[in-house]
Amino acid sequence: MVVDLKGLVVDYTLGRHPFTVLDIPAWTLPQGAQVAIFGPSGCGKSTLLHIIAGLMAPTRGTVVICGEDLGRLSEPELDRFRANHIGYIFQEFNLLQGYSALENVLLGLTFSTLKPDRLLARELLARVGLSQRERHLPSELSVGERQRVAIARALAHKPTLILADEPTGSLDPHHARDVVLLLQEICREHDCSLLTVSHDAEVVRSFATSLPFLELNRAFHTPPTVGGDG
Amino acid sequence: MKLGWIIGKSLRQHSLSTGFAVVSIALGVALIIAVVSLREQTHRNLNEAGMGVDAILGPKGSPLQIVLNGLYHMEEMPGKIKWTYYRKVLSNPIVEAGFPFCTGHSYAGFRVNAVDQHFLTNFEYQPGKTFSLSTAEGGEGRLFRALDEAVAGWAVARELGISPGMTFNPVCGVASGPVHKNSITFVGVLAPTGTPHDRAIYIPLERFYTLEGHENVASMATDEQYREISGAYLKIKRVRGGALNLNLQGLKYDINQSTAAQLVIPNEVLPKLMAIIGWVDGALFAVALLVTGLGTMCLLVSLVSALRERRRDIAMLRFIGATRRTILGLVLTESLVIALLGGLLGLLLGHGLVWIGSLYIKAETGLLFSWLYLSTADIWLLPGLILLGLCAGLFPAMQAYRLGVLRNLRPLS
Repeated sequence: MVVDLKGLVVDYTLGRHPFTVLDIPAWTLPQGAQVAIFGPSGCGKSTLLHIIAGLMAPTRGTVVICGEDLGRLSEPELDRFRANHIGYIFQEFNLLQGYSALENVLLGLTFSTLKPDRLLARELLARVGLSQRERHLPSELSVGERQRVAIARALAHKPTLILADEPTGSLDPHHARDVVLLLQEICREHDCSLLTVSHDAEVVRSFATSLPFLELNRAFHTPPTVGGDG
Repeated sequence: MKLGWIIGKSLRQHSLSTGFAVVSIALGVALIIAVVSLREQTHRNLNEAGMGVDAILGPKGSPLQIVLNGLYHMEEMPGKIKWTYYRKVLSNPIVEAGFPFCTGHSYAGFRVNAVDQHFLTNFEYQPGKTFSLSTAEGGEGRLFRALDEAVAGWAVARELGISPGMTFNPVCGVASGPVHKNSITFVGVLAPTGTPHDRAIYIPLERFYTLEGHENVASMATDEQYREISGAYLKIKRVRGGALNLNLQGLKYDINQSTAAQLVIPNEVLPKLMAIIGWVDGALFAVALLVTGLGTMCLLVSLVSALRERRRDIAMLRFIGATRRTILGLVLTESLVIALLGGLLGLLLGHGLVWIGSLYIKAETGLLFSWLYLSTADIWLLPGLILLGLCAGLFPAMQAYRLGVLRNLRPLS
């Protein structure tokens, strides 16, 4: 299993009021699977991705990713784990503005154990249809192109698992469909698992396996929007 | 290599603030290097200028005035001393040699000093170094043999375009005054010594007394009983280890108790001169430190403002695997790189300032200053810059270290 969650609980405190945002008794994601989790905004989907990426520690429970129990890793070990095993795609791309498309892709493997490989980065950019845009800065690219660069960056260090947080949230429906299909294809080619969270029904329909988040999460309530939590 | 790439990108991304910080630090470093180098070289030159002369026998008056006139060809001698008294001092067992001189004349702004030939052949302006006319060393011509002949110091010849065969008429006085009708021919140019002696013209001692208009003292040329001189450089015998004979203080006491003359030891007077002018370089040094402090503040402000702009970028670097320590190292290294770039530029600028200063000082005093001189500031530059870079970078580095990843990657909309 690429993802293996057991007894996962995440509590938040907003002001004086504690509430549970995630309560997932057990859930797994097999190697090579492509799954979309859908649900309304603010129901904890992004929090789940942050937990799986090792950016947050759950209040209780175990999180085993690619065979590694994240609870047993120190912060620097988690950073290295993420650099080597996780690729992440954001709704707002988060490309570094001073870096060209090619450099943004190269950044994806800067902190991994792999050597910076310009050839690989170029191949990835070509694969997402941006071979002519290598030297362009993010500000010189369209939103669809920026998301393609972000996909190439997420794949640069050959991760085992790609996490996509509302990957089409900033795209128009036509581009959104193209990007999702591209993402699915590339993940298949690179044999990596894909876990997408989205509130967009169109995106969810394009996945063979989809899962309503409120079914997965036993914390039935709609909390107020908490920072970074989608 | 990977981190160097990120640092390079960051510096280029904020090239304006980086450039401003580099220039600010460079200005401070340049000032410190120039001030310290010029101060140290001034000390060295003053000491070396005094080294050739263990003591000056001069008239009663200000010892500093005697040193300035005798060694640096500045000011005027406060009076004259009797030749017979000079001979008496010369016969003292601790005195190895004496070089009498008469001052008070000039030509085109340069002093015309009357000396005997012995001064041009035996006087050591630095230990073991006597004047030379060798063309290989930059001199030319020969020493004076007749009364109407003169030898020019190297700087005088260079500035006035003097070569052997040219003539001049000395002016009575050091600034302006009547011009003597005697036409004196330059027969030689001394090789450069890097001392104020380069900035004087030397005529025979006897010529001083027999210049047109000096009829009232003409007899001094032949009658030693009446002869007067402005002063004399004295070389004192050394004791074992090269130290000056301890009896010099006794001789000084005896002479200074008399009404005939005074004995001035340059190495005792020069520190007083340095103390007088010391506040100037102290003030300059303070200004240089202030400018460097401002440069450090510029670097700090530049890093902090760059960090504010880059919070999202840094959060993203953390997200893709950079550890907190890596981020700390990135910001500190960036600070160090800016400090070192500023230091390198300041090093070049500082030595450039010393070069410009050396041209001016050489023109004014004849003292040789080297722009390549390695001062204390140069030696402490690297550790100083590292400290400066670390101090300026520590605060923004700690801010970057503590930066929350998720908080700074929140969607903008």
